[in-house]
Amino acid sequence: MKRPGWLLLEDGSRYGGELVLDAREPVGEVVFNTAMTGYQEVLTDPSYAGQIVVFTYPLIGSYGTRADFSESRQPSARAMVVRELKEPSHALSEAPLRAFCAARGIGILAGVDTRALTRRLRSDGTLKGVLCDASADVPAAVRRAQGLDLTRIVDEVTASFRYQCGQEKGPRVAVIDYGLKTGITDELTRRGARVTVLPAFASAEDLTRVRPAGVVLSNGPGNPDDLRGRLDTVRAAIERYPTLGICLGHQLVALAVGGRTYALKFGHHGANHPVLDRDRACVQITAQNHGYAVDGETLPDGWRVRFVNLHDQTVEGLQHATRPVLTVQHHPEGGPGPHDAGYVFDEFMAMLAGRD
Amino acid sequence: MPRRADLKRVLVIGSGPIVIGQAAEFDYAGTQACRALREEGVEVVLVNSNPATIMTDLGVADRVYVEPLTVSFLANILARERPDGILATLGGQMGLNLARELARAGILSDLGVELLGTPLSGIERAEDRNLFRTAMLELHQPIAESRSVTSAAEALEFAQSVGYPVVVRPAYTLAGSGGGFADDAPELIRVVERALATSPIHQALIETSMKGYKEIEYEVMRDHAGTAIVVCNMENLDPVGVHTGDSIVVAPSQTLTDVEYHRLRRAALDIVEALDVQGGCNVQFAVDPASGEYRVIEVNPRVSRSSALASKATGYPIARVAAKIGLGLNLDEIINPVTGRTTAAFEPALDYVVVKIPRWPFDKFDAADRELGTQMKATGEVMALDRTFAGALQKAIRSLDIGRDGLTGPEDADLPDAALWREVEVPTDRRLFRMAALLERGVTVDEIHRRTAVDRWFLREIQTILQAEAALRAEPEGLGPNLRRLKQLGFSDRRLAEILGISEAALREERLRAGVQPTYKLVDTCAGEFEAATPYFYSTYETENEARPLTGRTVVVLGSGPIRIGQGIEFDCCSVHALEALHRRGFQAVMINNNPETVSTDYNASDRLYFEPLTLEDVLNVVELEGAEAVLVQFGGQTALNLAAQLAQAGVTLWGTALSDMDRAEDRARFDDVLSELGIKRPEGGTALSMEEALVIAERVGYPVLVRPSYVLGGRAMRIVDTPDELRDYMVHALLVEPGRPVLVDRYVAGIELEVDAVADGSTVVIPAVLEHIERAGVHSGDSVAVLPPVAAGDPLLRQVEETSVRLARGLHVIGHLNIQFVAEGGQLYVIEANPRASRTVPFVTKATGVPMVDLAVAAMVGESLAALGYRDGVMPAPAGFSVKMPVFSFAKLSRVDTALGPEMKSTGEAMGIDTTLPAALYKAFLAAGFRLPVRGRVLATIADQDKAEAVPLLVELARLGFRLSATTGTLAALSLAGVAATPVHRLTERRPHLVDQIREGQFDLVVNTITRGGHPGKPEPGLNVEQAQSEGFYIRRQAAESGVWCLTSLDTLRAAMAGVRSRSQSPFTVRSLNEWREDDARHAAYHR
Repeated sequence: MKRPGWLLLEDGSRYGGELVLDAREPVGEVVFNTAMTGYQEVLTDPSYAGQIVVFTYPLIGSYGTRADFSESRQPSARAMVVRELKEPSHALSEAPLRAFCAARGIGILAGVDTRALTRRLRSDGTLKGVLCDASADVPAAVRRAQGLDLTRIVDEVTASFRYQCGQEKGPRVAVIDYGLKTGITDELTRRGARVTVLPAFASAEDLTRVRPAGVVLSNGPGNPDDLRGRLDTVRAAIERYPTLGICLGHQLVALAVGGRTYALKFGHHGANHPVLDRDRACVQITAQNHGYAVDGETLPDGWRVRFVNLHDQTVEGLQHATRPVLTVQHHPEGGPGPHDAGYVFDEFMAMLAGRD
Repeated sequence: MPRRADLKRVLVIGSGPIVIGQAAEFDYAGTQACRALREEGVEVVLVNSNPATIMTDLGVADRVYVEPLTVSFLANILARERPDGILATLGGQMGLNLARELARAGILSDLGVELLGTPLSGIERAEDRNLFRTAMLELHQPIAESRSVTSAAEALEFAQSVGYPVVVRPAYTLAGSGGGFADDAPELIRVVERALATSPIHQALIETSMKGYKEIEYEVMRDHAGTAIVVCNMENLDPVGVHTGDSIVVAPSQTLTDVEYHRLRRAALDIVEALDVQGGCNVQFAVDPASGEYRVIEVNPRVSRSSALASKATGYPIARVAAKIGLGLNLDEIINPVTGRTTAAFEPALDYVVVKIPRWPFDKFDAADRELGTQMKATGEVMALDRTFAGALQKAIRSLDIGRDGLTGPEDADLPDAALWREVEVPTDRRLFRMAALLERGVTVDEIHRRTAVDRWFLREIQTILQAEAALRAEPEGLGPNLRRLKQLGFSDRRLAEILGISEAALREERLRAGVQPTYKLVDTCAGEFEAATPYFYSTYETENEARPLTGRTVVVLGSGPIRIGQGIEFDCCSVHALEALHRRGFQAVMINNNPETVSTDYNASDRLYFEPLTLEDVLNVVELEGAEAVLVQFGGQTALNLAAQLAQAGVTLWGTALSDMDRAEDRARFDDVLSELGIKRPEGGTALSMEEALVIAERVGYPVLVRPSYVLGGRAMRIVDTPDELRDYMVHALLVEPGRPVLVDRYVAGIELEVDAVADGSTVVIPAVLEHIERAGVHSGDSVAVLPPVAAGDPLLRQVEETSVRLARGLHVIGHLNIQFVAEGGQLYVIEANPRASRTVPFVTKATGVPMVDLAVAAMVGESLAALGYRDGVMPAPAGFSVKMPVFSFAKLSRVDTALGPEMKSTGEAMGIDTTLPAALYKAFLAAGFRLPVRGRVLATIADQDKAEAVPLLVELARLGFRLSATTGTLAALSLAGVAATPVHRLTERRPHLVDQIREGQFDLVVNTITRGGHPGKPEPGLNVEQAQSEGFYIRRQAAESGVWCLTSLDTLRAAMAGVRSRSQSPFTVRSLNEWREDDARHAAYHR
């Protein structure tokens, strides 16, 4: 029997559907994602930690799930809201999406007018919300949503200890894990890197001890301002090593050099955002997932906005005038989404050449 | 890079007449491109021979040439206009081929004309088989390879180079019989030897096997800077093997993982990069469902049918962007008109599902081979959008306008399983419905998947629909709680009503009472991420309705649905003109249509577009939501007109001729009354509901008689019958197909056919021109060569036509359009039929005369006076020059269809020729339609006895003009009596090579084959029985069609062709823009004084 349920927003408004998986009333920031494929990659991307993802594409689950599609092992998104949950039809599928979500404790609300919800988020901005049974105590659930605190969300998703992966030989790349997607280490590995992953709370000394040829500051969830206490490590990286910042990592670089970040109204979540690379004078279609952006006006001398989002002219990446530091707000590793900007990893690897 | 300042004048090549595989999508693309170019301040010169296009409207380009699309005519136009650049990637394969020929001949460089967009080298590398193969190998892109072989050794060598499995097809056998698959060398030897033995020319095609692969397409845009984006990807429901134009297509892909999606996307982008595409491009892939491995099937470096579909499916204006790239702009410099603030450099995100279903012409061609394969057969297509696949699928089915309202119906119910399986395993146009019938009978999804490779995903969706229907049948009281879900699954009110055994109106009432109403969602290219400015909606059943009723006076125009024989692009032209006319008058013009190929469904053709089926329910929903003041039904052909009565009954206001008067024109008995009241003659006849009645009427009026069902569309099932036996035969079939539908039986009058398109406002009846048909009565008016102004009809007859037309329009109280068809015999004028709507010929007449007919019709409908606009009763002064409308056929693509012309319409499109003399206009029109007679060409004549006396002087004249004649015995004898030598040919029943062999071998440039009326031979030639004579003619005509040899079945057409041929040797042809022709028409000034 179908179980009616709600997505309740912090302002008390509600969107009805079928509560397929309740996951004990998950609370999260409600964001929408416009990618038409890659639901599993989205749900397992640690940057979605603490969030409830609304898929704008109405049919979700059609090709099932596979272990190797996951971007992380831990649950990331807290729940998803879809128009229609499909049974899988694909030779390579290992499990239906429903079972996958059940195993990871991801809630599912289906049958929702997701376009109406998306339009709402577009005009009112990201809102906090909660998934609950239709018979739940609504005011209490809304209060829980209002009380959502994501200031320490990175700690929930970062690795708890240092580990190695990637190639046996080759330049050593230290990756600081603020909510790392495996797609990033895969791209580094493919380019011949030895990878050492460090937890988000790693100190500058921890970093130096690894003796890296270069550093990657990973993607991750939440507000970069909440990580101000961890900027020493970031400064150490950009002062001493060739550094690539991705997504949250990019924002942390900006903060570390005295720049500022701000919350976007409803963020960029999708696989179709055009980004102008001023150095290459060409446009790449990129995968994006961020709710905050760097204010380009607040950057000190020596820092240049190299990448710009063509939709809203927001900062999509920085380049230092002299030091080998490159940052991108988008996801050059795709997953889900295009790999058009994969050359960013090539540039990073080129910076390492001769430094190992 | 900003737009290039050196490009001041650009020539755009259109795609010419509509044929299967090249249809309305290029009018849409060309129109959008012309507008985009002018927006950038470029002076646009357009060439297209198809008058039934919006792009040839004088307002779309700065100068319009309606001239044949041949290298020589284009060279003339280029020399005259001296444009800076030429844009050829928007006119289909026609435009691309012309551009290649112009470049190869050195004409472009001699005239200093630059080919804009994708460079020629890129085009060649995509189009030339070997260059393409090399390019793909360099890119490490796997391709599907094939080779023709004549020995097992060759086959083995090829298979070794591409790898097993391979598929073997013998050449020139029906439906690939004698072929098969081979997994290894021993099997290949066995299969190839059998195939070679089966093939009449001992040849077989070996291909990489892609059996069961998914077929996936990507639409790509790329600019000069190298930025490339994917507009849309699409997945075919039919696996590889069915031409993509004949496949049910879904957007976006449903069964690809993110990895697969991006692997193919990357491949598509790498390919367009390597080809240096600058503009639009289509890349087709075959994907192995088991491994995700793929092969590139083909690349089209131009705007295509698929890109029209992708444009409408996403809202992204591909042709517009391609045109701007042609001017040097880059994607990030082009504004996305849908959002009004983001740029064209992004990839659309869909938040709905799109389903396209092709529309095939098999309802018109009983005998046609319905099997679908690599040769496209569909004439048109429909598209539907919804938030569920089931909803989109069912809406698309309704949109087809084929009498089906769901997946199952009586058409399939009585067939045995084996018959269903046959069309499921070897696909035909009915595969979808046959699959549904099997599922309904309990065949499993897995079983159908195993035998067809159609993805289970689609089959399960079909099953979901069937199960919901079955559940409702089992438990009708379950409607209430399930109504919303049933509507979400796309069930129509009519279908639900039929299941429950209640009326559609009752169901609608119940539905509205339950508060189950459609919500309309916007197509915005970005899945709601940005606010959108375009007014393009589709219906679904959810919570939020985004379509707020328009303010002001809103009027709905009904479109004509999919392109089909008898209802083509002409009606889309009329619809677009109607929208423009309303908009000009300050109305909010709302379009309802479901054809993704057309201009009418472009985002800026109307004030608001609803992409919906054209059924009572879907139209009513829109009318009620918008609070529309009126609906216009005269422009969307019979599809729109057929809705008139139901709409009126539902309380909708129709503007234009009153419903009762339309019925007086359409209902045979009432029309007879009108005519007798008005003292207008028509061929004697009557309406028969039974065999006996038909025979009685025929006896009374005398044979031959013309028989047809009432409410015809394109002369469907119309026939001339000579004997009571034939009549019985016809009636048996007619009563079987549509029992209870009356059949009209008329005396067949073999005279001059004339046609009038009039516009009236209730008092003034304006006749812009009278059309005269070249072929005598008996050939459907849509298949006739028509001339304007008339030449054979004298002034007294034309005065009768004028006077009768005015009287009839008044008598029918016409407000808007009226099309009247006449036949004249011995000075007596008869009315054959009158259609109270815009007809097929309105765009042609508009182009030929410059009279804005649709605008006048809309003026009349909104209550303006034609007299006040300066128009008077009667025929307007003739325009300068002669205009010829030439029908164009797609016979080569429709195997087993007889090409002989008769009362059933067979043409798919039309071309126009204009010149100062009729012969020159005729020649241009023939040429524009693809018919060219070489100097000293070879002609095969096989003439039926009844026509010999008339044919011989024509053949003698051909011989005198230098043509070499070949003829069958009887015709040969008749010719030698006239003193003309001809080469004898062997008949089909005699030894080989016989005449059909010779046609196949390309020994003739023209075939003249006349048949006795209605396909029934009179007296067979000696040595041949009736069937043989009949089948021989059929084989001759078919072979001519398949070999691309011009074949004439009417001596009237031959006479016209000869006049054209004579004119070419008399003086050189000149080109002239439509604008100049109009400037000649000082007559308007005088007329309007």
